[in-house]
Amino acid sequence: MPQDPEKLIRTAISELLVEAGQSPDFDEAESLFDSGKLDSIAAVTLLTILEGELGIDLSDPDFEVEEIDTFAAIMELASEQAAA
Amino acid sequence: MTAIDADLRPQSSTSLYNPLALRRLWLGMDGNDRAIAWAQSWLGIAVIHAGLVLCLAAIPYISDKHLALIAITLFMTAVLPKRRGIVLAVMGGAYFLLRPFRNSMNNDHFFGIWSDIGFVTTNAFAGTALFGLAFVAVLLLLIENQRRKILPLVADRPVLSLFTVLATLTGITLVAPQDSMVFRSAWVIVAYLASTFFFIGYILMAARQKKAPSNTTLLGFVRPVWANSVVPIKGPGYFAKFEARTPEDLAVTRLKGLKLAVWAAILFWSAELIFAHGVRGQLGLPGFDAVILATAAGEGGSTALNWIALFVHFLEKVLLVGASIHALVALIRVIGFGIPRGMVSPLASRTISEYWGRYLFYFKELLSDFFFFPTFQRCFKKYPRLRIAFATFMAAFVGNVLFDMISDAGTFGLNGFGDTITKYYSYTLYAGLLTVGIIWSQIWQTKPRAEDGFLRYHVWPRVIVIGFFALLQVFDDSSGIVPFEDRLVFFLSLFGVA
Repeated sequence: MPQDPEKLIRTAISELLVEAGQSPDFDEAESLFDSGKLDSIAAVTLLTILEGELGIDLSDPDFEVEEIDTFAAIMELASEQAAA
Repeated sequence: MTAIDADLRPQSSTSLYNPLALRRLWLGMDGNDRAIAWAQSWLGIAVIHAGLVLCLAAIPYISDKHLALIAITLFMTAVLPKRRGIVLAVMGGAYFLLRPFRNSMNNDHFFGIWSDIGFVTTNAFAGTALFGLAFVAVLLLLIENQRRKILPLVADRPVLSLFTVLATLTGITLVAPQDSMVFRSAWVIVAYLASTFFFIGYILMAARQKKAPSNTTLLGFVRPVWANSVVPIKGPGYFAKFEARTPEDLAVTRLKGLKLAVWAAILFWSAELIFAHGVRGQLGLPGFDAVILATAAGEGGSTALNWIALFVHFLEKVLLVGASIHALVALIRVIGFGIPRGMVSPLASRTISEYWGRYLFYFKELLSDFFFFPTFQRCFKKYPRLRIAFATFMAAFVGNVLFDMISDAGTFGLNGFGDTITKYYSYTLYAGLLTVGIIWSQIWQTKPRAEDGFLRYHVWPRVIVIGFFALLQVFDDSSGIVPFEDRLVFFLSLFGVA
C-alpha cells in the first residue's frame, strides 16, 4: 500500500485529464468516465493503478467498474480495501 | 458535460441582426440566466416541449405511434417532474407490453402463434400484453435475486446466465419442429429475450449497485420510451447520475435538449439536401448498395467513381447516424436526464480508437460494459498489452458480432441456422478488421502532438482515420441484402483488383 493513496489517485486522474486535453482540476463527486470526460483506455490505466498500487481485486464478482466513476467513489473503494 | 458542451458558454452581448451573434446566443442559452429563468416558466416549458416534438417529427426515424407515446410521456413528465420515474415506468411498460419485438418478422410470427392458441381472446395485443406481464414477473424475480443472492451463481454472472438461457432455447428452436408446442414455447421466450437482452443486462447490473434504484425505476428500462432500437443508451444506474435535481438544473438540461434536437434536424435535412437531392437526385450518382451490386456484376463504373461512392456514403451515414442519436439524446435531456451526447465530432478524431469512442459512444459503452471490462478484470493480468488486446478483441469482435446475433436470435429458429449465419459473414469481417485497427491504435499508434506540425497533427492522422472507417463500412452490414461476395469484389475493385 503506498504512503498516500489519495495523492496517488488525484495525480493519476489529473494526468489522464490533461492527456485527454482537459483541465487537470476536478470535483470529488464529478463523473469522470460516464460523462465521457475520460475514455475506456483511461479507465484501464486507472484500474491498473488501483490493482497494482492499492491491491484492489478487480476479479471480485462484487466489483463494478461504475465504482471508479468519481474520485470520491475511488477513495471509498480504497478505504474499504484497506479495512478488509 | 462533455468537452464539446463545455465550449458552449455564453459570449458577449450581441446584435440580434447578426447571424453569427444569434448563433452564439442560441448555443450559449443553457448558460444564460434569462433563458434559464424563461425555461422554468410554463410558456418556456411548453415551447421547449413543442419544439422538441416538432424536431422529432421532422426526422423520420420515429414512427407516428411511437411519437404519440413520446408526446404523452413528455406531457406527463413536464406536469409531474418529481414523478418522472413512475411516468417512465408506466409509459415504458405500456410500450413494452404492446410492442415487445423490434422486428416485424418476430411480430408477425408471434401474432400467428397467438391466433392459433386463442387463449380467452385472439386479439394479438392481448397476447403480447399477457406474455409481457409473465416476462416482467420473471424479471422481478431475477432483480430480487440480484439483491438477495438467493442463487449466487446467477447473481454473480447475471448476463452470462441470461446468455446461457438464450443460447439453450435458441438451440431448441433449431431442432424442434416449427409447429410443435416445444418450438413455440422456446421461440416466444427467445423473441422476448432477444429484443430486451442488453436492457435487462443493464437492469441487473444496476440492481446490485450499493445505491440500487427501486424496482419501479428499473422496470422503466425494460423498454424505455425513447428506445427505438435494440441498443440501450446505458441503464438505470447511469441515468440516476444525470437526473436533474433542481428546477434550474432541469431548465438547463431541457435547453440543452432543445439545442440538440434542432441540431439533429439540421443534420438530417442537410444530409437529405446534399446527398439524396443533390448527389443522387441532381448528379445521378447511384446509391452505395447499387454501386456494389453493379461492380460485382461487372457493370460498374470507374475506380474513381467507386471511391466517390464510398466517401459519399460514409459522410451521409455519419450525418444520418448523428441525427438519429442526437434526436434520442435530446428527448432524454428534455425528459430530465442531462446525459452526454451519443456522437461527438467523429471526423475530428486523430486515432482509430478515438473515432470508435466518438462515433457511437453508447454502443461502444455497451461493448465496454458487457465485454471489455469483464474480460480485462479477469484475463492475462500479468501481461499488460495482451490484457488490453484480448479485452478489446472480446468487445470489438466477439461482443460486436454476438450483439447482432443475440438481437436477431429469433430468426435462427424461423429461417434455420445456415441461412441466418450467412448474413453475418460480412459483419464478422468488419468486426475483425475493426478489432485489429483498434488494438493497433490502442497499443502502438502514437498520439499526434501539436508540435509535430500542421500536416502531421491536423491532416494526416485524420486522413488515416477517415480512410480506415470509410473502407471498413463496405463490410459494415448484417442485413445480408447485398451478399458478402459482392462486397468483397467491390472492396478489391477500389484497389484495381478485378
